[in-house]
This record gives sequence, C-alpha cells and structure tokens, in this order.
Amino acid sequence: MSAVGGGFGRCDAPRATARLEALTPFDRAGRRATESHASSRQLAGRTATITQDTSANPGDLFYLDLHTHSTDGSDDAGATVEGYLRWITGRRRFGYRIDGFVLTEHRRFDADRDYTALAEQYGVTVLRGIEVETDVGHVLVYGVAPGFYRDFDVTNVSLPYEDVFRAAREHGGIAVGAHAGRPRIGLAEHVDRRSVSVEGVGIVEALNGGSSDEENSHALHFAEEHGLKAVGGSDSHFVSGIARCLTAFPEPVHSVEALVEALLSHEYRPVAVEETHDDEEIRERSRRLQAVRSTAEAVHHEGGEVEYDHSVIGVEVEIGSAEITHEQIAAYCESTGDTNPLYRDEAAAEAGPFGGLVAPPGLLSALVQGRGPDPKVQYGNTTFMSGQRMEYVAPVRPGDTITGYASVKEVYEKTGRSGRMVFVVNRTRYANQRGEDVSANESSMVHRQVAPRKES
Amino acid sequence: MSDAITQRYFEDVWPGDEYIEEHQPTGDDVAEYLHINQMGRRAQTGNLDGRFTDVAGAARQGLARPIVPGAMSMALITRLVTDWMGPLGHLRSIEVSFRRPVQHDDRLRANALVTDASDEDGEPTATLDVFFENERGERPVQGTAVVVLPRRTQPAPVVE
Repeated sequence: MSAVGGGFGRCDAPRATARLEALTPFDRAGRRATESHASSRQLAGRTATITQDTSANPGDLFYLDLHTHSTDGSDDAGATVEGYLRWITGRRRFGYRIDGFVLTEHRRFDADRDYTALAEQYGVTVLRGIEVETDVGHVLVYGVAPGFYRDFDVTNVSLPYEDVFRAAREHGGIAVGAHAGRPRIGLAEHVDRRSVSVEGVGIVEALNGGSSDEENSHALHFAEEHGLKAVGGSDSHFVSGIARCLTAFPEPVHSVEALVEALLSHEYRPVAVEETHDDEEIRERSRRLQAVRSTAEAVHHEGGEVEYDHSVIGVEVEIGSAEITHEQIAAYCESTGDTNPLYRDEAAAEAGPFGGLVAPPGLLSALVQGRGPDPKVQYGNTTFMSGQRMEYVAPVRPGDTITGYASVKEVYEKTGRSGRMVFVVNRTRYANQRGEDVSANESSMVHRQVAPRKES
Repeated sequence: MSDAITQRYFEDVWPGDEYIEEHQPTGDDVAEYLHINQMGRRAQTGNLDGRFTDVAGAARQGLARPIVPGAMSMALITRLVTDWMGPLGHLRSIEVSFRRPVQHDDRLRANALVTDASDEDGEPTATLDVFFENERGERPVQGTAVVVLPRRTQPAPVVE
C-alpha cells in the first residue's frame, strides 16, 4: 500500500484520476485490496448522468441536492447534517461545485428543527422538505404550509398520490415523484403497468443516487415520454453519498420559497456531481446512460395497519450462551479470510492493545444465537435482514463464555422497491461470564410478501 | 497477516482517504460461512430455506439467484474496517443497512471512505462510510463505522 500526500480537508494537493488498477490477485477468500488517499485521486462515486452539454461553465449555475436523509429524522440514515456539511466543504476544495441540499426525511417533518446557524457556518444552503409514501411510490414535497401536515398523516405509507400532488400546490409548495425509475416505489412502473394517470404530476426525479443506472435510465425515458420535468438528488443516507446527483438551477436558491418558484419554472436539469467540476476533463468523464428498459413487475399492495404482539416490546430474554474457543475463532477467520494477528497469533496479540488474543468483532453474532421474543407480525411470507448495528464495549477472549439477551425494540412499516415492508428491530446485549457487557447488537428484520420466481 | 493489513495512525488519516477491498463471494464461500454460523444455530431449527445456497430455494423467496447472508456481508464489511485500521486500532461501532440483495458471484468493491477524523473529545477517532458497490452500479450494503486509532507519538492504550 502506498500512502501519499494529505487529505482534501487539509491541503490543496494536485488532482489525479481515480485509480483501481494494478490490484493484487484475489486471495483465498476472493478478496483483493487497494487504497488511495484523498489527495491522490478523485472521490467521484459511480454515478450515472443524462446526456448534457458538459462544456458549459459550471460556475454559472446553482447546484442543489434535492433528496437527502439524516439521523435527525430518517431511521435508515447514518449521516448527521454536520457530517454532510463537512463533506461538502471537502468536496469543494477538490473543485466540485455543491451549493446546498434539501433534507427530505422519511415520513417526518419536524418544524422545530433549525439548521440556519450550521448552514451559515459552512457556507452551504440547507433547506427542508419531506419524503412521503403514496400508493404510486415515494414523493418529495417542498415548501408546503403547515396545513399540509394537518391534511395528511405523513406516517401513512400509502397516501393517495393525486391528493398529495394537488394539496402540495394548494398549500404553496410542490411535489416531485421520487426515484421514478425504481420498481414499486417509483412512479414510472405504476404508470406503465397500472395505467396510473400522470395528470397533476409535473416533475419526477430522473437521476437518483440510490438508483441503478438502469432505473435512472427508465426514469429519464419516462419523464421524456410523458413531458415531465426532471430533477436530480442523491437520496443519500450516508455522508459520502451526498451530492452524487444534483439539480442545476440558473439562479441561486436559498429558501424553500425560492425552490418552489424555481421548480415551477422550466429552467433546471439533473446533473451528476462530476458535471459541476471546474475541470472540463472531469466533466466529460460523466458516463452516458444506456437506454435500457426496466422489466420489473409491479405489485400493488394492500394497506391496513399491521398486527403484532405488542406485549413483547422491550422485554429482555436470555437467548443462549457460547464458550469462545480458539477453534471457533480459527474457523470464523477461515470463513471470512481474516488474517488479523490479534485473533490467532499469540505473540503478536500479546504485544497488541488487548494484551492477548481476542475474538473477531463479528464472531459474537455468528455464534451466540437463539430465539428471542417474537412479536408474531401478521404480514408477509418471508423475512430478510435489513440492517445491523454493532457496538463493541470490551474485548472478547478465548475461554470467555458469552451470553446473549435479546429484546424487541420496535415494529414499524414503510414501503420500498419490494413493496410493503414491516420492520422488527431486535436488540441483543452480550455479556461475559463476569456479567460485564462486551457488545450490543441492533438488527432489523424486514417482513415482506414475495412471489416465488420461476427458476431459469 | 495479510500484506493488506498495516497499522493506521491518526496522524496519517484524512477525510477523503479511501480503502478498497474486492470480493467475489461464491457459493462455496457462503457454504463455508454458513457452516461456521450454524454452529450457533443449534438452538434453532437450522432451516435456512435455501435462499443462501441454491437456485430453487432462492426462487421460492422471489430471488433471481442465491444471496449472501446479511451476517456474512456484515462480517466482510467489519473485516474491511479492521484491515484498514490495523491491529492497534479499536473498532467502536459499525452500522450497516442492507438495501439490496448481494448475490452469489457478485463482484463487490468494499469501500471504506474516511468522512471525518477528529480528536475533539480527546480520543483520536475516525468516522468512515463503508459500502459495497457491485458491477451494476448499486450499493447493496451501506453503513458507517467509528474507530479509535493510535497516534504515532503515543503508545497504543491497552484495552482491558
């Protein structure tokens, strides 16, 4: 590995192109590694872009990310607002033009939150909207008066879309069909498959940082086919995802009122972040979308409140114990290809920060398992893991006996590209033989209704 | 120790630094992982319904191909971070969101991207975005990790 130069936050190092070449061969676990420092390559993520004239001076435009999520309001986000602001500051030093972003938390608008001071501190425009869920997918809503939130229960995951688009205008704001090309939660599929009307829908998000190239291509074609205007947004949930996709406006947009006014005009377009760069070569690096149609099947789901056993919420149950052995550690390391000496090399571990061998962090959740409380969710025919958080408080050593204690934190629902989803959030606390907590795990399981596929 | 693992010191870490490992988990890799994982599933039914192992089982779950277990993806992401930080680092927390299925034989770029490096609280701490990116341009697994790193100028603290 090479380590050269400093990061973009602390120096003005020369730019170079991204590098992922000259990788070492795959090791036995199918892995190979490389690294680069911020100063030695561009940080551009893989983004798709619609075909545009990239020779224009990006400094003439105002670039706003219209779709972001933060830990302040979205259950599945891992980024703080200040984390976004710091990241944008760094990106600017690398030559990218990012003027601001709009927080569009899932199904939540907290009127009391104020980011004015933070925004001024970093010189970044921070606006707020909301992402709601309707019967034709997710919808971004900007600039509506409080009456909008009285008219709608925005926690409802199946709001009537025509009412949402109409009410947004009536309350002085505007609505945009989010990630229009995604199956089930994007508008295009509902129009294509269910002949849903686009009357009242004026704008869709045709470039979305969380969508695949194919989905963005579908969205773009959909917008063109139906004469809809198109915007871009990153749909970021984590710091480095912000501003991968933006909307370019001809004039500055520093308030939600100005945003609504700008969106009602015809002069804006979605762009990938590379198009904002002051280096023409980087702007031209933006890839053209391939016109590929999505083939996903639409499934219209039924609404209704999910039923489950509320009595188990917060009740902790012992789920089992396991003694941590050298053999288990070795086997786990073999299965993940982990060669860290702290786990198997006694001499190296002796000199390490734990003063002896320890277990890999991931071992606990693999070994200490058992049935925890079951809320008996009355929905779906399968479950998948949707998220996991691990905290490591103290080292786990060979010879320790670890006991797990599980509880159900909460049950809630929302909609995704796979349709309606009910989430069960489980917490597991791990303690050693001395009763000391060593780790905590929070995992989400999603209950879904799936249709079997024909084997190909 | 893999030659990919070296010690990371706080002084050398900058926002924007990126570390990448490439994976292509095969059916055999998944089977091996499940073998280890199932040691802890003795109290359970052990029925994994085939979604992780065979095409028919995956099809019953509406999946195009067998998928990599979320716990295995978490293990690979965790290892990405521990490889990046080196033996003297301390992984404080890691959180991931599984946004799309990871399928067998997907070519995955596992990315650890430094988004903040700070010692404001007296601990030299780095925050990373971690994610898989596949050959279709999707990020099926995304998350964040927080690690405490040693300084070059100070010995690494012993963690009791």
